[in-house]
Amino acid sequence: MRRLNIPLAGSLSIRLERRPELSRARSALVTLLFLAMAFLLSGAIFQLLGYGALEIYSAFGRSVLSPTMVEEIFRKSTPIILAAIGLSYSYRLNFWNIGAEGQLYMGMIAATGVVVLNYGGILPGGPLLLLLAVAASALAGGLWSLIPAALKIRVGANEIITTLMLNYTAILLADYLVHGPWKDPTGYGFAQTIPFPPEAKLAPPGTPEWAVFLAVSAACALTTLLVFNYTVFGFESKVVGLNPYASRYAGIRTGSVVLKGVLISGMLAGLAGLVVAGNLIGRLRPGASPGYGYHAIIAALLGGLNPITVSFSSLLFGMLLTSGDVLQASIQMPRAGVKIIIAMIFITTILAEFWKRHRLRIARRGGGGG
Amino acid sequence: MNMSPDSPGSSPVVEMRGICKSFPLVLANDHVDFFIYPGEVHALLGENGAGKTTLMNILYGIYRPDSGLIKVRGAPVTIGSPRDAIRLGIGMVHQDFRLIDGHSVVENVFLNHPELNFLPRWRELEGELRAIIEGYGWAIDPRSRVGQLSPGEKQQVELLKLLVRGADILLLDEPTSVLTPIESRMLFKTLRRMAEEGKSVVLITHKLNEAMSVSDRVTVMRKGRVVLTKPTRETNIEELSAAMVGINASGLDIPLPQTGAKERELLLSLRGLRVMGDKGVLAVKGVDLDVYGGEILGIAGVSGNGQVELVEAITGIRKPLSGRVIFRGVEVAGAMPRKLMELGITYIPPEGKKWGIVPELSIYENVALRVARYPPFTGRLGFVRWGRVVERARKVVGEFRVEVGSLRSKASTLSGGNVQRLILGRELETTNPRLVVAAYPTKGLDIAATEQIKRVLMRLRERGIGVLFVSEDIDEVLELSDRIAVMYDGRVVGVLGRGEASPEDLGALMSRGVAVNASS
Repeated sequence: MRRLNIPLAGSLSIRLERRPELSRARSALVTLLFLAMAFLLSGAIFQLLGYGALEIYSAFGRSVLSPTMVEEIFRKSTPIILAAIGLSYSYRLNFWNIGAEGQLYMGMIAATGVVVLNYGGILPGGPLLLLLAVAASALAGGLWSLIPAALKIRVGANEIITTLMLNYTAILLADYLVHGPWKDPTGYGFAQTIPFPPEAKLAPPGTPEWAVFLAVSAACALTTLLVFNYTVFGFESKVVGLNPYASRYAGIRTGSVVLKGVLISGMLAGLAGLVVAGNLIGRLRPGASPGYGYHAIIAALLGGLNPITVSFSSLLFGMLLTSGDVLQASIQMPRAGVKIIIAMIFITTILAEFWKRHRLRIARRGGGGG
Repeated sequence: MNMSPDSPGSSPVVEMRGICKSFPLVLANDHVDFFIYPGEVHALLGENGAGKTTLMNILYGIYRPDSGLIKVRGAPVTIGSPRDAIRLGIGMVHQDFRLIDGHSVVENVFLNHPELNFLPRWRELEGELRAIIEGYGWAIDPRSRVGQLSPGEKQQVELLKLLVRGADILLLDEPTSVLTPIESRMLFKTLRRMAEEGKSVVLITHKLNEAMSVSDRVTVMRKGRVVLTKPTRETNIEELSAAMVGINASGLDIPLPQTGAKERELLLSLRGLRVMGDKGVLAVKGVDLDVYGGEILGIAGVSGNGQVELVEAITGIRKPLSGRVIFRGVEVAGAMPRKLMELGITYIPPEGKKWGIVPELSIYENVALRVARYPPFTGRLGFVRWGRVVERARKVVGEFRVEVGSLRSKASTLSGGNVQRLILGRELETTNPRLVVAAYPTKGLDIAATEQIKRVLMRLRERGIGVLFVSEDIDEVLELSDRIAVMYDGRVVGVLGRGEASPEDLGALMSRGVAVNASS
């Protein structure tokens, strides 16, 4: 990066330079400060638009703290948690997968496919159905993510572009299915599939949804923590992401490590699709995901790719999405308000990462130069 | 070593005096004086890392000198950026071309040209280019796409870029490295022609015959300093090669042979090994070599003559194009690095910070780099036993005297010498080598670290382990090796026993690929 040098009066100038590595605690502090900044800046925008920022935030606080909302927050957070933890596998490998949304859609499609086949009498019902739905959604998401991984390894195709493009493919495939072959025959012409039967849902009716989701998320986060820190695969994926030269030298089979990591990434996003289609909506329909896969990208970065902190940042996004509905109903704030906050968080997260590596210093001009 | 550059009559167009530039770990330019006169082709000779490119990058405004003075046409100047340099009439052609393949020649040449209008008159500009192209007897069409041009033609486009900006001081960094011999001859004709027009040309190179055939004056740099500046006709290849590799006229004392192990096992045989380099050019052009247990086989050569590609092919980092690599009776050409390590080939890579460690990881994680997947560092379930890794890391750090804050601190905090100690210690303490391939293990290190690494290599020899040792430091090669193989232009041009190697022979072999006697 070119060095920035802003001359001040006299021989002084402000200089942007790389700073030595921050400790974990200080780095977390920087993240939190920039997060607070996102809320401040969004507040300023609300104020400018004529809404009371304080009113909005207090309504936000009340909605988040109300016990009835807690369950809704867990519901909305779970797909983000799963997808964001999945993305952490990719990002550790320096594989910039922004295709969680498409992988999630493929998961929804595959799970719905299982339901449709069951409806058509081809697949058996009962407890096996959930197992099939879980396997199908994870497999579909995983296979969807393997396409860009293989393209990158084989021909060097940029994964940012391929994963993004495959999002649209998956979303349009879902659209086609719900408008065409999988349209609910008893649905009065609505573009949607038949509802998921209880036995195909991760949290069947009768069980407290939030408890099931909490358990699934926690299991996913803890397993990932174990994989990242204590397995050979976790170690090798870190090496591959940090230094491709050293990983070649170390005899790591880079391609296979990337394939495995990205596969897991897609599988978790696919599983998130099962949560969305099975429980959050109950069926497949157009626009089933309000961008869970995209929010997961920010959540993974904000959480620093650590599965535990990623879970909490995903929870924050769950809160924002939930409160968006509430704010719209209670104080007539347009839904886009929440998008402003999310966009601000995205920007400040990137700024925070930059700030962790650089600092501004007032220096005397001319001297040094090395 | 400040010698005054002798003047060929006129006053210099560029004067660089007392230029110093240091980078972490290296003093790239150490009080360098360098003058350029109008109408000359000036060859700037030196091995890789001698500081010649740094010096020219300073003149071109890419680096700022730590100290020193630059005058252009008699006036002191500060060159803060290439833009400043071009304003002063200084232009540089880099080793790698900075062209846009999809654009035409004329578009590339005038891209970012300061006097270009918002709506350029392409036809006029094309005419301007045609005139220059014909003047030099080139054959490129201004309308053709740059992506379709040959390397030699791309170089002409780079020169055109400088010429239309009015540059009359042209710096060319290793311009022939990507050219065929015919293209090179063509280039030299162009350079001579430019000099006749009164332009000044600096040719950065490490090829002696180029310097001899095309230049009016020659400056030799070695280890950041100017060691010789002369009119080309007053010097000869022997003098230049000696200056370049650092042999003084009196010669070197060759230490006595040291006895290796008695029984020598043939460890590694290379037969007809050919390896591609990064630029798609054959880097190793058929090498036959044997390495025995209990010997240090030194590979001498000016760097860039295929040494790195050779060791990368032996260690599996790079796939050989053809030929055989036989390790202890087993054909291993093209095997994965992992397999070769398991067979007992341990590799100390060049550029330790790039290849040998992961700077962002802790010291102990770096110790696990190559062995995390093997017992005893990993259990049956694929979990890494970090406790054992830390234990081993403590041993490595202790025995090889790696100066670290703690085993948890990041490897990026280590100095170059400590990185090298860590790599060496890790490889010897965690793998079980039969053959150690060490590429430039002492490059850029201080004396203490260099001595330690040499001692480690000698101890390996005593244990009956074979050592393949690549270095461009001729003193070091002479000091350590039982046998010396000299590489030149992708071939082993001579294998000398310890007693047979005279520094003059080595110098001649390294710089021209022929022994002294053979040439005269």
